Amino acid sequence: MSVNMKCYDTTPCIRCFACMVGCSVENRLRLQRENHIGIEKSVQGRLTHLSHLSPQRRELGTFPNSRQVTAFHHCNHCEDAPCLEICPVDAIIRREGKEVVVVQDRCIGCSSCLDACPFDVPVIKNGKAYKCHGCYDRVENGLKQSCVNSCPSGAMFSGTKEEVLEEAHKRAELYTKKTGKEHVVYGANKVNGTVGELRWITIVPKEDLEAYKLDTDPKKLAMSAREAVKVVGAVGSVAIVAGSIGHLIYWLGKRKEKISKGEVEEK
Amino acid sequence: MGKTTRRDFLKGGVATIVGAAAGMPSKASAKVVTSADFGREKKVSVLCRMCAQKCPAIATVLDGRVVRLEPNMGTPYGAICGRAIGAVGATYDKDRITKPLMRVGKRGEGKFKEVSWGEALDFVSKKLKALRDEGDAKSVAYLPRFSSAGGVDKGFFHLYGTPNVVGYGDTCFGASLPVSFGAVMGGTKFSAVSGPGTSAVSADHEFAKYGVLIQRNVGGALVCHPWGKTFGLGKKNGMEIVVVDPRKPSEAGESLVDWAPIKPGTDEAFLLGLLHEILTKNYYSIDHLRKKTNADMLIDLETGLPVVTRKIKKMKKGKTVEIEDYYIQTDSGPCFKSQNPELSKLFGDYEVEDELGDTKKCKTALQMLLDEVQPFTPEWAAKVTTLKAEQIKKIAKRLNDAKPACFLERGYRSERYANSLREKLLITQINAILGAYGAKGGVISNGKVKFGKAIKAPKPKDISIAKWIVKHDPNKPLLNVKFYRRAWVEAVLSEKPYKQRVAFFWGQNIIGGSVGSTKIAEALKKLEMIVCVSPYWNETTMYADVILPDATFLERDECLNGKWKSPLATLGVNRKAVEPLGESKDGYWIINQLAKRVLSDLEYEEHFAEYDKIGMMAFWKKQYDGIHGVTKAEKASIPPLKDILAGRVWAGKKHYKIKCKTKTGKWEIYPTELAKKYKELKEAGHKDAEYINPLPTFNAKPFILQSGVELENDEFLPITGFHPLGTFTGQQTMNNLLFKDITEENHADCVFINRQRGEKLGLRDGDKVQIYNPKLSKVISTTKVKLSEVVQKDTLFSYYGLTAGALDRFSENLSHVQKGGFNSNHLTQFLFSPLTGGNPAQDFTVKVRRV
Repeated sequence: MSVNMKCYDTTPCIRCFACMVGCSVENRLRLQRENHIGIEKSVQGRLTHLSHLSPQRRELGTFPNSRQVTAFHHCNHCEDAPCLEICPVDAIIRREGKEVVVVQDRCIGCSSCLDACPFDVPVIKNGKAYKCHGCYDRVENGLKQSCVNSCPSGAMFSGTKEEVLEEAHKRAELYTKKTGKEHVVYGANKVNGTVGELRWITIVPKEDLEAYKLDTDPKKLAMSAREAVKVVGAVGSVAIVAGSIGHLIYWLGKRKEKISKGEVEEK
Repeated sequence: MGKTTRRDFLKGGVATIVGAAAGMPSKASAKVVTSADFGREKKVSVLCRMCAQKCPAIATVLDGRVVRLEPNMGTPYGAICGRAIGAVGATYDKDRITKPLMRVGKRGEGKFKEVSWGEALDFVSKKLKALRDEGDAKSVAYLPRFSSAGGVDKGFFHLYGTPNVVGYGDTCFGASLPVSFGAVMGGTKFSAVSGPGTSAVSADHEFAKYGVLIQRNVGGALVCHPWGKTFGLGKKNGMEIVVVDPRKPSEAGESLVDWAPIKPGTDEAFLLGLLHEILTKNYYSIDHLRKKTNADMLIDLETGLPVVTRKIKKMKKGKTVEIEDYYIQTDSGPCFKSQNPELSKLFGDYEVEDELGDTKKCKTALQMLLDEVQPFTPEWAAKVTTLKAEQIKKIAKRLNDAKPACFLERGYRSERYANSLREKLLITQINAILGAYGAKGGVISNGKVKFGKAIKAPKPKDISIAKWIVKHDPNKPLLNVKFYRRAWVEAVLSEKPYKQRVAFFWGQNIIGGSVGSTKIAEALKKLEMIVCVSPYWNETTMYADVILPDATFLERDECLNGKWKSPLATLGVNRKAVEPLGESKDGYWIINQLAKRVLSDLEYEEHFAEYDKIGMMAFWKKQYDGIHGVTKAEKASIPPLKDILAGRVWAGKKHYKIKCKTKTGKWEIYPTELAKKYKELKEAGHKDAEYINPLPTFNAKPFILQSGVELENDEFLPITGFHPLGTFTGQQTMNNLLFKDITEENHADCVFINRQRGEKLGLRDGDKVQIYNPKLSKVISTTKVKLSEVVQKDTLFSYYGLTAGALDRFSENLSHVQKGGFNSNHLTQFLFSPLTGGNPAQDFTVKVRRV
C-alpha cells in the first residue's frame, strides 16, 4: 500500500467546520459499532476527545487592517512520529498507509505521546490517549477520511502521496500566479529533524505560515527527558501489555461474531 | 468475512457509495474493521432540513439509528455543511418534543400536559370544523416554515377554505428582492408581487473572476448545495472577492481577501458611489448596453416615463410575442428601437414630438442615470460608509477588468433596513450595466422542476388578508401576497379586514424569527387557538394551545422536490431513514388525520382516500406525471419514478441565461414599471414615494440615518450573521452538543464590538453586559461581550440563532442552552419597511452597559 496523504487548502476553505463535525460524528459511529454505545446516547455528550480536528481561532492585526484566522489543530501523521517512538508500550503503531494510530487497548494513558508531540496533539481521557487515526478503517476499505468526505468546497482532499502532492503543488502554483503572493505546501518536504515529512499537508500563503500556526521548526524539549522514562515505563508495563494482548484476542473473536450477526439481521 | 448485503432500493447514486465499500479485501490487524462493516450500513437518500435548503445527502443507518450524513454526489454540486453532518445530534436530542402536548397554564406561560394523539387531533379538528361550519374558515391562518408535509399542507388549508396561507418570506427573500429584481428584469406585477426572490439567480462562482460579497456571505453561512460548493470551486479556480461587510467573515476566506468594513445600514451609499465610478469612468460596454438594456430609451423629463411607446409583435423562440417598442434617438432623428436598433444614442438631451404632436424634452435613460448619480461621488460615499474612496474606486475598476465574469451578491435574509429595496435595485442595475447577467462567471437564472399538484384545491372564496392590504393599506401597496407574516400579525391586532381566530404554525417561530417579537407575542394572545407542529422548542411553541410533535427529516418520506438555488434544474426526494422518535409523526400523517376529521366525506374521498390506502405513492405519482418546466431534452433524461424514490438525484444542464420578462424585452436599467408606480405615488403626495424612485437618490434612507444624529458613546448598530453551525432560531443547532466545542471557540455566545470602542466604555473580554433598544427599553438582553478587531466601529455583531436571547423562557426546556444571550429580533419595535411591508431587522440602535 502506498503512503496515504491528506491535504488542507486554506484558499477554497469556507470555514464551515463540516470536517470537524464529520470527525466527531464518525467517531460516535465507531462507538456504536465497536463499543455498542448507541449514537442516541453519545450525542448527549460533548466527547471533545473524539474530535480529532479542532479550530484555533484568533484575530490578527488591528482594525481595519485586521482579520480572523482559523488554525486547524490536528495530528500530522509525521514521517518520524515522536509519539510513536516514545510510547513505552508500543501502543502507537503505523498502519500500512502510514497513518499513526493509537491502539487504545494497549494504551496505559502515561502521557508520553503528549509530551513528545511538538504539535501538542494527543489528549488523555479516562486513562487513554486519543488523536486522529487517519480514518484508517475507512481508507483501508476504499473510503475517504471522514473530514475529507465531509468537505463541501474541495478544501480537503486525499489520496496517495504522489496524487496529493501533485494536486497540492498545482494549486499552490496557480494561487501564486493569481495573487502574486508565494503559496507553499507545508509539510510536503521534510519540516525538520524531529518530525520529517508530514502526511497531513497544508496549502498556505508563505507569509501566513505563522498565522495558521504551521511551525517550520517543531520541537519538544520534553522529548529527551522522557527517553529515560520510556525504558522504566516499558519494564513496568509488561503485565499490562500481556493483558492487552489477551484482550485483543478476545476482542477479535467478538468482532467476528458481531459481523456475522449483523449480516443475518440485515437480510 | 461474509458478503455485503444491500437493499434493493439503494440502486443508483447511492449504490456507488456502498459499492465502493463492498468487495474490498479486508485487512486484519490491530483493529479489524472490514468492508463488511461498511456493507451492513443501510444508505438512504435524504434532503437535509437542518436549514431550509434541502441539500441532497445520504444518511447511513446502522442498527436502526442514523449514524452519519454525507453529501449525495449524484449531483454535480453535491455538498453538505456541518449542520447537516450534525443532524444526528438534533434528531436524537433528548429535549425534543416527542409527545402531543396541550396547554395547562396561561397562554405563553409554557406549561403543558401530555395528551394522546387522538385527544390533540380531536381538540384541533373540533375548532377548525366549527369555524368552517360557521362560514368563517378565513379566520384560520396557516403559517408554514419547516413543514413536514410539503406539497400537501397548503392544499389542505385551501381545501379547508382559508385564503390565508401566510409565507414567512417577508423577513427574508419575499419583500424587496422580488420588487427590485422585477423592476429591472420584469416578472413583477406591482399590485401583487410574486416571483424572483433569493432562488431566482445564482452567481456563477465557479468561473467568476471577481465578486463583491455584499448583503450576504455565500461562503459558508447557507446553501452548501450548490453555493458553498461553487464558491469553493471558484476560489480554487482563482476567483477573487471583496467582502463589503461591517464584520470580516472567515467564511469568505482568511488570506488575501479584501475587506471593506462598511458602517451598518450604508450599503446604498456604497452602491451609489460604485455606480458613480462605473458610469463616469465608462466601465461598461456600449454594445452590451445598446443590445441588452434600455439605456437608449428616450425618457420624457416631465413624466419620467418613456416618451413614445407602441406595442409590436416579435418572434421569440418560434412564438409570436407582444413587446413594448420605445423611442430612441439616432443621427437622423428619433425613431422606434425596432426600426434602428444598431445606431441609437446612449447619451444626450433631445426634444421629441410625442403621439399628440407635443414637443417633449427628453434624455436617454443612461444620461438620466449619469446626471442623477453625479452628487454621489466615491468621496461622498466614503463619508457616509466610513470606507475609503480609493477602495470604492478600486472595486469598480476590478469589476470593470473582470466584466462580464463578475457579480455583486444580492442579499439573503436581507430585509434589514427601510431602504433594502433601494440597495437591491442598485445591485440589480449595476450587475445589468456590467453585463453580468447570463454571462459565464456572472449571474444566471436558476433552474427548477415543476410538478403536478398532489392536492388540487379550489380557490377559497374569501379575499386573503394580503390582497386586501395591497388594495387598502397605503403603507403597503407593494406587499408580497404570498409572504406577509408580519402584516398578518397587524391584521390580528387590528381585526382588519376581518378577525383572525386560529393560527396554525408549522415549524415556524414567528416570535423569535421576525421583527417586533414582543408585539407579536401580544398579538398571539388575542387568538382563540394556536397550534404548533414542531419537533423543537422555540419562543412560539411556548404560546401554543396544542403542540403536535413533528418528525424530523430523517424520520419521514416527503413529496418530490424540484427547487434548489441551483442553475441546474434538479429533482430529488427525501426518504425516511428511521422511525420517528417517541410518538412523533410525519406531516402527511398529521394532515390526513385532520382531513379525516374536518373535511366532508366527498372531499376526503377525492383528495385523501388514495393516500390513506397506498401512502405516499398517491402523491408521488401525481407529482411525477405532471413534471414540467424543464427543456424537452432534459425531461427525456429524467429517470423513472422508482429510481428517484430509490435515491437517485437527477440534475439538468447549466444554461447561461437570465430570465427577462419586462414588457420591452430589455433589461431595464431605467425601470419603467417602477417609474410608473413612483409617478403615481408622487402625484398622490405619498410620503414614502422616494423609496421607489427609479433613479439614484439618497432621499430614502434607513430609519437609523434619518435623524442625522451621531451615535452616542454607548450606542451601537446591531447586525447579525449566521454561524456556519447555527440556523434559524430553534433548538436544532442551539441545543446541539455536536457543535458546542466549535461554537464556543468562536465565542458564538457573545456579542462582538470593536475593541477600541469597547475599551473606551471600560469593557473587557467576557464582561457581562446588558443591551437594550432605547426605543423599547423594557426588553433587556443580558449577554457576554467579545472585543474584536474585525468589526467596524459602529457595529454590534452577533451570531443569529445560537443563544436564547431576552425572551428566553423556552430555553428552560433545553439542557444545553444557557438563559439569556442576544437575539436582535427580541429588541425590535414592530416596524415595517415602507411600501413593501418588509422586515427592517437591523434598522435600530442599541445601548450597551456593563452589569
